[in-house]
Amino acid sequence: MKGDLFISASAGTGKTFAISERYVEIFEEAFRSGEEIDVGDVVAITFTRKAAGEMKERIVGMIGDRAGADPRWRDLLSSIPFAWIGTIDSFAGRILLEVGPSAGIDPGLRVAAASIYRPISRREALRGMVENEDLLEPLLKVSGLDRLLEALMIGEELYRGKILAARPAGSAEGGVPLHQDPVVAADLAEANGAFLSLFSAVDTARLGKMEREGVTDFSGVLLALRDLLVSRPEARRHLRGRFRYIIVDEFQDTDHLQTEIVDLLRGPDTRVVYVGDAKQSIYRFRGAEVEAFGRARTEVESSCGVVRTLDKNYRSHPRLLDFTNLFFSGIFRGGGPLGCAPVVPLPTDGVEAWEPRAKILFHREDEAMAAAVFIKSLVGRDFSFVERRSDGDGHVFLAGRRRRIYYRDFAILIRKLRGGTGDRYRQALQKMGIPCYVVGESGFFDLPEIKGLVSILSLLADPGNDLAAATALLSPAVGLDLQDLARLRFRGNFTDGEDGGRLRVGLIDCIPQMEEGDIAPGRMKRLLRYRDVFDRLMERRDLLKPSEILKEAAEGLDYEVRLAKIDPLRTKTANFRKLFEAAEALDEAAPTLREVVSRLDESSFEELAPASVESEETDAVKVMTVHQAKGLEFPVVIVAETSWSRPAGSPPFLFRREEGGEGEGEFVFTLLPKEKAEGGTVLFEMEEEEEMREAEEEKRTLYVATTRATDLLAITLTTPKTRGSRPWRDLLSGLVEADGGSGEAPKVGPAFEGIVEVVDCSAMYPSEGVPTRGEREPVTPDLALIDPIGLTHENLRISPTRLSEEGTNQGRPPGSMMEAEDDLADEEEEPLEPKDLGRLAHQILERLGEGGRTLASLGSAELPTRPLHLLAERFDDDELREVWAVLDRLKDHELVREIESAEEVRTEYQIIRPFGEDLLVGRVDKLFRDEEGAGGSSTSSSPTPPPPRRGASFR
Amino acid sequence: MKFYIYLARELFCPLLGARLFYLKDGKVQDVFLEDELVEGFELELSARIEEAKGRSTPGTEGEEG
Repeated sequence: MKGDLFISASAGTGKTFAISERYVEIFEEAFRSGEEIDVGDVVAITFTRKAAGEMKERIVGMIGDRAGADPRWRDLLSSIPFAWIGTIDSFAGRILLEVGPSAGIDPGLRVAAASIYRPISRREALRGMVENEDLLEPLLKVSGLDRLLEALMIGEELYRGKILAARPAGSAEGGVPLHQDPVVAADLAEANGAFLSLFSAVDTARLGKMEREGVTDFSGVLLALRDLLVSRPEARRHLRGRFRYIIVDEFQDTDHLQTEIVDLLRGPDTRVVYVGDAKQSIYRFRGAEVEAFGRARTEVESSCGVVRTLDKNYRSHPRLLDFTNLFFSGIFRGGGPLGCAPVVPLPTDGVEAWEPRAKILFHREDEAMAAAVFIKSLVGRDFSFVERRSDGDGHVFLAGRRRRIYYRDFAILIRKLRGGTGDRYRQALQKMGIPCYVVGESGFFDLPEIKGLVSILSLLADPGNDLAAATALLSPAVGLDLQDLARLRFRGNFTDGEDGGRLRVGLIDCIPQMEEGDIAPGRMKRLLRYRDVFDRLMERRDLLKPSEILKEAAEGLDYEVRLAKIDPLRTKTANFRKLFEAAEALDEAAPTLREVVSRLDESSFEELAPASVESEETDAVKVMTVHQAKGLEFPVVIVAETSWSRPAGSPPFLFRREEGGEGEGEFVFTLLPKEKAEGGTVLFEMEEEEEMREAEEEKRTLYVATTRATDLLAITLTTPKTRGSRPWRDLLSGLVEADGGSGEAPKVGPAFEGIVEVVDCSAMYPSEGVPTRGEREPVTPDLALIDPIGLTHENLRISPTRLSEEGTNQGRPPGSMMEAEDDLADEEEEPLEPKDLGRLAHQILERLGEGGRTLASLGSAELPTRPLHLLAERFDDDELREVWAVLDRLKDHELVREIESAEEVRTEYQIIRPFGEDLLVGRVDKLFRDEEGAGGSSTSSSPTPPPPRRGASFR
Repeated sequence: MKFYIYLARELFCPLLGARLFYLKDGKVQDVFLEDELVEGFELELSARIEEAKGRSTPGTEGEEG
């Protein structure tokens, strides 16, 4: 590659593939020409850690394909762990770690969560306002104190680099007055200067404060690197040109500071690869500048670099692309770097159902209901999906595949989940019995079911931490309400200190003071149990790892069962399971429990999104924002809440980029005064420009939303609403004919006939048209007897599969919560019968399919391996051979083959569901994801229990 | 077996049914629990549970108090 490369990649055109390919090509070219090169020469910067992970995975795969005979590729593969592939902040952090110490930067500097740095920002902003009285005076002429504080905070968090680089707007700019009233213009100009000075003072104080605490924030790392490159010549000499290739992904969402860093790092021989899509720039609110993308393209073109446009869409059904091509060519008018070139679909093979794949879901007033009704009408039906396939010669095509539609195929995308929007959708869906999940309303560790359990860590680190205690007691772990908590506190107040005076004790120590009748007995029992678990863990808190503490607490509190009981949709259970998958990360977070706790909500755990997005366990509709959906794809996308309106109110300040003679020019900054500006003023022009940019941004958010669909797109629409600016609604109005306010479902606009279809959801009822299932005759074996088999805590356990034995009820009183469970599930409670050969076969089969194990690989009658199971020791060799002889006959069995080749196999899969007051618990012997589910989100699971009544059927 | 299908039917909705696999002879039997049979099954299950509770020593406070 001689010059820079610019890749413009519309949604679904294989951007990650293109970047990974480029990364590998760089090495290929170097190897070919005998150039020295290693992973330290190439940097690839992405937007999220998830994207970085995907890219790395793909690159490893590509290098792996070439690694066969060539030692250079093998060396490259082994050095990939040191490759510079990551997010911009991790990239900056790594450089600072390397060269920072010599430049006086603390190598222990860590990126803190917003909850840590925001209070610091606020305090320093307030302090700055008090201590800089002279600056405050002109500012208060144009702005209130609250508004000023807001401006300082927003500025610190989102626009720091830009503000520090800006100059204040004067009372006139280029002969045009800033405001029509000369007095206001003069005041405003003075205030603008004062604000920039105040901001700089606050910023310095804040940085100092954060440095003393050893923390920084996202932009802090970037700023530190920028400053290092600008102010330390020796560091600049060392770093400039150090990287021969810099690949920047999602360049359309890059801000001023990030661009500056890339420019500072680039040496005369450095080649930059810019990758992105102007239509998908949706982070303006975080300071992203889509214009930088256009400028980069122009620069690459003028410096004889290469500009590539990826226009083959690998994601969506061709009919869906007909819609996006047509609709967005009208939305993004004009060509150039920010225009919209149509994408080309993949060739198809066996794809059926060519009816419109874009639907308008019309409902007179309720968009949530429109979405719910639509989902209900589709789930369970057969539908023709498309699937990417390769013909072996590297040609990719779309093949048709008919299968049923599941809840998990749907994603509802909303512009903003604010003011209870998520709740509204949840309610509408639940009303129709649709399991759903609102993604990321709060962070993973803020979910009550997670916080409730994890708070025991905080409590063990500091038993006096009442906030942690209250969190735990109010969470599903104990389930108290505020009244109970008040009662607990009240009892605690009567505890006497040693000197006879009142001693304030922590909430957790109030528990033993509770008296009978204080709270409901069931809660009391759980409260005491919590205290008991806490005491046991307290004794050993220094010996256990955080993950072990959490596991023991969960078991002691019977937490999973509790969650299943209060949340029939199982999302809480899914989150709970996810916590354990990630719990080991907690162990490594810090050496002491106290530090682990302090880092819980830090960026290292940000990737832990609440369960559901990719969890095949949760067959639920996902509700999420467009920003959360970026980079993802779903079979059916419903773009909803399209009539959202922009809240009234304006930003606290505005920028305008001044076109300079050379480079990008500088920013002009102005606050917004209380007095509205009229036409013919700089302020008015800047406000207009801001509005125009906002409108452009909303076109792009709509583009990102609609292009997430692979098979079917639905857009909700209500009768036009008049009040407020409704950016999406206005854009979408061109799809249908104006309806004149009759409330009737509108007709498709002439341009979209045959491409878009209107579904009148106001007139639809959920049960209408849902096909009844199953054509085959049902077989219904007898229900075995249910016998109580034992008690743990207050739970009565009942087995549905014990046949004729007398109940082994221990005579202890049961609670009303019951578990009916497979007798295999709890071996302690049912003594093993040593001659039960069926059980032995069962144990052998436990490993079948796991990690691709075949039955043949597990053993045979000639090589009768013994399963690694304690109970297997009870069988002698003859018995073992006997069992293997039977299993040998099953080696070519269709079902065994199916399990062996399954995508994913789970053994002893536990299912819990509430049943009235009781809970049903069962374990399915084998659960596997079959071929139909291969290839991503559209999974299908077959519960398949092999030896069902072990002894009985086997013998 | 119905018990398992009943457990799994909402988790893997739409219901796929389950497969009984007899190791002795490799016989496979597909089992379904049709929608219209669910209600009957629930009643039966409920009765069985009540019966089992009845045979236990009468209880103390319920879980929710």
